Amino acid sequence: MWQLLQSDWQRMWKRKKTMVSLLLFVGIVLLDCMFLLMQTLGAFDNVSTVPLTAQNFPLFLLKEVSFFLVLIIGPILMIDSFNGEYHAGQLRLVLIRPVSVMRMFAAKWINLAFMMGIFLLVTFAAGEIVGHMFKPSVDEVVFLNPERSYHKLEAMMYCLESYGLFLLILLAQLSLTGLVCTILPSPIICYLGWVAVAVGSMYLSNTFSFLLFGISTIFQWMAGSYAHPFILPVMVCMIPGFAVTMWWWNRRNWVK
Amino acid sequence: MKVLEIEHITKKAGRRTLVDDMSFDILQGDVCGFVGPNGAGKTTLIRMITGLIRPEDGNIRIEGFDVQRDRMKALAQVGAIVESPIFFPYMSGQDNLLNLVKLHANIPKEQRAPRVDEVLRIVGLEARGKDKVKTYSLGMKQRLGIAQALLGNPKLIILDEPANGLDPMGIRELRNLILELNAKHGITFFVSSHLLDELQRICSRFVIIKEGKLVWQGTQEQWQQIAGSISLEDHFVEMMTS
Repeated sequence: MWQLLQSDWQRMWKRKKTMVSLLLFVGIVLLDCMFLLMQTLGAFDNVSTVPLTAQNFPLFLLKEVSFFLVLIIGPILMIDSFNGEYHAGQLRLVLIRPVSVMRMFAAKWINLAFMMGIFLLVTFAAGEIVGHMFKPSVDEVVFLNPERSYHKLEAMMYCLESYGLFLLILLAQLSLTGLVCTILPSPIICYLGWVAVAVGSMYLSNTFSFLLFGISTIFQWMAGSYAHPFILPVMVCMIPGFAVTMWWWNRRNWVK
Repeated sequence: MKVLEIEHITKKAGRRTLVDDMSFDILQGDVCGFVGPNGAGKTTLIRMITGLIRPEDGNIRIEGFDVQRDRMKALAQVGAIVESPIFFPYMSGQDNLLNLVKLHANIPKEQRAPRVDEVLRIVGLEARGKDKVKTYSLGMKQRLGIAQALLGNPKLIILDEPANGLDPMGIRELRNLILELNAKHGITFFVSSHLLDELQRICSRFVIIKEGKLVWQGTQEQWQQIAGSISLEDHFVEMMTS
């Protein structure tokens, strides 16, 4: 398994798309930091705002970059790994070796999960550093729920928990994208397929709105005002999505 | 000793039968030509041998290991080029091989780099190993394809239309490489092609298929005997048109 992880990780980083995505993402994070530095208030939605401080800066930075991560960077890297290599015929080089196909899928999933973690870590670190350098540090801060205030360390933990929940949403997206990439033929169709799944699931139930509006869901969940189940649907997308795709990979015919 | 056993293999795509109840064996040390017109089912069978697709019926064993039930042990015995040799174009030839050699559990970590150097030397690519694959000619890609097939010290190498697109020099180089690997390293080859002249120069045995069915199998001498005074190419055309 370790060799599969290493081999896939190396290929992932050798692809130009990965490095360009990371650089682009760092650029977006810095631009969003500059944008937030020009603001005095952080907005949870159209109504609720709080003063921007060093303590809540990482959370509002996540809000700014979240769409970019969910709709552009995440799908590009996921589809490239799950479908792009196969579509180009390159995965055949790996498939004809004495490796388990199920483990190969698991290795790709784990590597992408780790990469999403890196993107979030970069965002959090940038938020902490820029926030503490340029925004006032306060002893107590409130988030969406105005009745509950947090000390410095509690506020940091609040932000970290929000980032952790956002990672869970990205992992749910990862499993669903894996499934979409297994069913659909080419990377472009896979991207459209992923968008269709994310939008279509909202017509099915508001419970799945976290796929597109993850950060808004997290704001409300953390404030205790989210009206739908959250963790269970995320897990339902993530774990069975992973298991079904892994099974499918083991049974499918590799014709490219 | 049997290196490859094909037993009553059938593959269908919808209502169409691509490979129909095919059975034959390849013995150790053979260079076996796998001949048939376009669409006969050669690549489909090769994909089944390498575990890329599943047969509807029948068994494939490599060195006694069933490809479906004992996939990892079976594939550890085989190296292959399936269709055209496609690599990771954003890496050098050497990096491609270093990436792939990690997937062979029988090669310890400290022996990976020396093994890659060795196979690059065998196929004559040691001077271009550090160049990106996208700068390689088709002939060099075919040689790199053989290098990647050699990585795991296979007993059997399967080449699917290896001469496609090669110039006469490239074809000659490939032929010499196959004969050298067969003679020096005892590697068994299963080579699909419709270039019968070329196969005649390297193959000791032939398996001939048509429309997914086995038409004939045997040694080159046996084929020449039944062909009589006409050339093997003419006899092959007769078999395909009758």
